[in-house]
Amino acid sequence: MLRKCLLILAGSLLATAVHAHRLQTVLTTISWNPNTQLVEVIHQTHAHDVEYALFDMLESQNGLENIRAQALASIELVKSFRLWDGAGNEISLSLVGAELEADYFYIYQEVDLDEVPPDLRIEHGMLRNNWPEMQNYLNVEYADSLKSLIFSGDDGRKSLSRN
Amino acid sequence: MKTKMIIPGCLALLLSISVNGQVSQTKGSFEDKFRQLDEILPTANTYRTASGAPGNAYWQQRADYFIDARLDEENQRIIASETITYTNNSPDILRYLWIQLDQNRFRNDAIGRSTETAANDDRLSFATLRRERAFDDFEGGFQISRVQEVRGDILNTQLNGTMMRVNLDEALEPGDSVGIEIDWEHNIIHQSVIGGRGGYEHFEDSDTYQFALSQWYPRVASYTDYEGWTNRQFIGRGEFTLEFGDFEVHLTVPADHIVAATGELQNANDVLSDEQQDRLETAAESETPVFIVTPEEAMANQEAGTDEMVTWVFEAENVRDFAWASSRKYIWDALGHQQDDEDNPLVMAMSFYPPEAEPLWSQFSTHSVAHTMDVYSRFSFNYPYPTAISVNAWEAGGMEYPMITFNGYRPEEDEESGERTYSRNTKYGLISVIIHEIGHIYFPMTVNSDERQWTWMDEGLNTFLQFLAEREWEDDYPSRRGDPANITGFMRSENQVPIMTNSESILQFGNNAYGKPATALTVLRETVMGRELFDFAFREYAERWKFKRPTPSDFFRTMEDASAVDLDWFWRGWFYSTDHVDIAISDVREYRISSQDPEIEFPIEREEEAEEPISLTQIRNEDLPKRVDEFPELEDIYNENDEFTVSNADRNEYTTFRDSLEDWELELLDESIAEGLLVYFIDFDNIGGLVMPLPLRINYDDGETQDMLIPAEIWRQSPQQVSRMILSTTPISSIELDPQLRIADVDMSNNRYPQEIQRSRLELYRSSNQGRNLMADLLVELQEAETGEDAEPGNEVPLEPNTE
Ligand SMILES: [Zn+2]
Repeated sequence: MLRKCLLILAGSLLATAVHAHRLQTVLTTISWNPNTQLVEVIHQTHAHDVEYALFDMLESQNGLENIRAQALASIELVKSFRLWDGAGNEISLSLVGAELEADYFYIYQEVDLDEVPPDLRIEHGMLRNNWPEMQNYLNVEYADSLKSLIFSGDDGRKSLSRN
Repeated sequence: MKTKMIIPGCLALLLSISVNGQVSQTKGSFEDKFRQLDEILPTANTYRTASGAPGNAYWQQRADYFIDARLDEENQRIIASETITYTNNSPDILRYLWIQLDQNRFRNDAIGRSTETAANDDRLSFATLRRERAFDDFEGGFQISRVQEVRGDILNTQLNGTMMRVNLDEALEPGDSVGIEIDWEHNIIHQSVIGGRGGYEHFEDSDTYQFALSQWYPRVASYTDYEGWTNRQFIGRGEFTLEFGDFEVHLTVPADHIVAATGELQNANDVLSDEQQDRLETAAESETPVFIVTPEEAMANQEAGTDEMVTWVFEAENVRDFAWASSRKYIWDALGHQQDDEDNPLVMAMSFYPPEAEPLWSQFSTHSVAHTMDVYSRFSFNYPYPTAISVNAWEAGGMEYPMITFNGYRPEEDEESGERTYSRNTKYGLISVIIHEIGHIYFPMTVNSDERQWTWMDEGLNTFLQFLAEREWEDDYPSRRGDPANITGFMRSENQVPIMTNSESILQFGNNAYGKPATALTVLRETVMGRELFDFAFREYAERWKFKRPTPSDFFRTMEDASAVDLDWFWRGWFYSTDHVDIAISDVREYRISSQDPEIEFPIEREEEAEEPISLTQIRNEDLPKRVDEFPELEDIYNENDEFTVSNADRNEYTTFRDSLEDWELELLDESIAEGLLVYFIDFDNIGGLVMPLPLRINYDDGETQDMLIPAEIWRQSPQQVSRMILSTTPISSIELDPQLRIADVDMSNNRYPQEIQRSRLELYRSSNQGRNLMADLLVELQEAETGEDAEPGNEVPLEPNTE
């Protein structure tokens, strides 16, 4: 049977980037830190991509060079990264900060958990609405294995298990 | 297609049973990480030698073009005709030619279009919807109206997607040529909507255009010794491999346009003012950029408008492609790059950009072009053409053609003041993309590797050289790729395929085809081979394959052939597998050499035992009455003397031991003891699978440190676990593996003995105070300000059940 659905479009749109040499990506790592007993989420984005995508809201003449622009950018970007545990409860991540290093803009989040939940659902829309060819990579570190996901195209939520 | 390829999913299997099933290890679990690649590499022949050089019968085809094209700016359309003169240098008889029609990728029925996959859970973004709608409204692809042999008949053709077979009336014999005329038209794509390597850009504020034309004419496909016709469909990623030839191209454009193109302008008198020609001459003598069209002139030009047309004529020798850009918006600057070269002593480094690219472009673009040639020529060969051009195409641009490149990055414009400024990231992004694209004129525009098969052969090599050129621009240049530490996140991830994977099947394209091979070459140069051996071998590869077509095995073989370094283990690990580097120092044991003399050794042992902690049981039992205290007769000689008391038997044993030694052994023993020699055994575990050299830093008690590099061959008979002995007269306080981050080790927490607590990037951020507190306050303030605002709409299309 063909299900009928209603489609509502929203969001903003910037230039496409279907080309060979500048591939937009975000690399996110989720891991449990034994020193702090916290789950850490680290997003590695390319600074220029963030500046280009968020230029209007950064209120900055020199992009991410100033702390306020970094704060604004990280608040905006983490909105499109969401986590749920195996039971379907959203895991609320706190935003610790962000910093520039070379070409990279890092965003730090954390949450007080005893381990990385064995089952996760993840939404990783960071910057993906700006570049249809953008790919977001996720590495989840468990005690003795590493699990990965790739988000591309219009991909929505994806699941991942330790086993 | 006909070359050997590895199917990603089978790789693990392939390696564990050894290659292709021809050789197999059926006993035990030993894996020969150093097994030679003989079974994997194609058999050498007279076209390609076993040393990695072109063979004595090496051949390649030739295609010369005459093109006459008109740009219809109003309708964004090309109307053109061409004559291809195709020369068959192969030993084979050809009954047909294949012509590449890359524009057909933009037809709605193209393979690339029809195999686009939908999102994983029924979502649709604005970007996708816009693109889908644009495809519906846009008639893409070549409209070919005539294919005819020169002075001959209309030829039979067969279209298959992005490929067209032209059936020849008479088979083309070895050594013969055939001329083919083709008339065509096509609509130019709106780059920012459809996406692609060329197209037009529309500037809404001034209602002006720029056109960047690439893959814009029917091009003859390559015919090679290793694959026959390289007629794999163009899906979008795997780029091209083409034949070299000479071009004469007539481009008719609106009279107020400035045209940048592959090749040299032949009719400057017709299209440039006297002043512009004078400025060009000045620029040729200048080490810094000189304006040929100034920003003011470009601003005036883009406002004027004209109905007249004018024809620009370009000629290019020995190029594999031709691209061009045209606009009335262009600012144009140039400088003369001098090189010690017979054919091209002067190269005009030039940039073309719209006013929107200022103030960034006039300062950095042409200098970046010249800098690229400075560095790349040293590592390969002199720049092989008379011009090198950087055009500011759309923001996301970055694409290369012979002598001309299209590059993105522009300043941002403040809406209120109209002032244009740029960030640090935009500046370095621009310099990097220009180095990268101009670098492509060496690889693959000159070293003509097959991009449709092997993206890494040009992207990997070029990204590596880009890294070197960035390092020579300024110290601490913020390079994105090349440093081993930058690739570890990818190397450990699950979703990846070996570098040796066809271009269209690659996962994590940028990391796989750019970052990983570039890092591999950095590791080869800095750690495995050393700079001298590497640089010679790399230059040899470039020289051997300049204006020729290499395959991966030609590269692998040349690097070994010219250096006498066995690298099969390296290619096997980095290019043919998905292993990563994770080597751990799992244990370190310290020994001193025993004299066996009980008078010396026993007291030391007694002392050592006394230093050992007393067991908890003994401590808690201290007050309990003991039987031997109650019955003293139970005490004997063993209670009076501990186990470290020297007996005559011990003394005799020692004498016997000394007597049993040869003189030289005795001497060595006494000498070592006198020096207080210590022996360390270090165990290394190979967790990631990739075998690598071991860069070690030994820290001594006296504060001295020593760096040493153990070659990867240490793993050759035991790839999972090895031990290494180190002798020292000074006690070692700690040992570090890869302290300079040279081998892309993904887990540094197991690289030190004694182990140290590794702090995460987030912890380090927390403990550094530069701006962190300010940031924390700002986050609180800004987040609070946001609460209460309406939630932002999502960026996908929410789905709701339809109740109809
Ligand atoms: Zn490239």
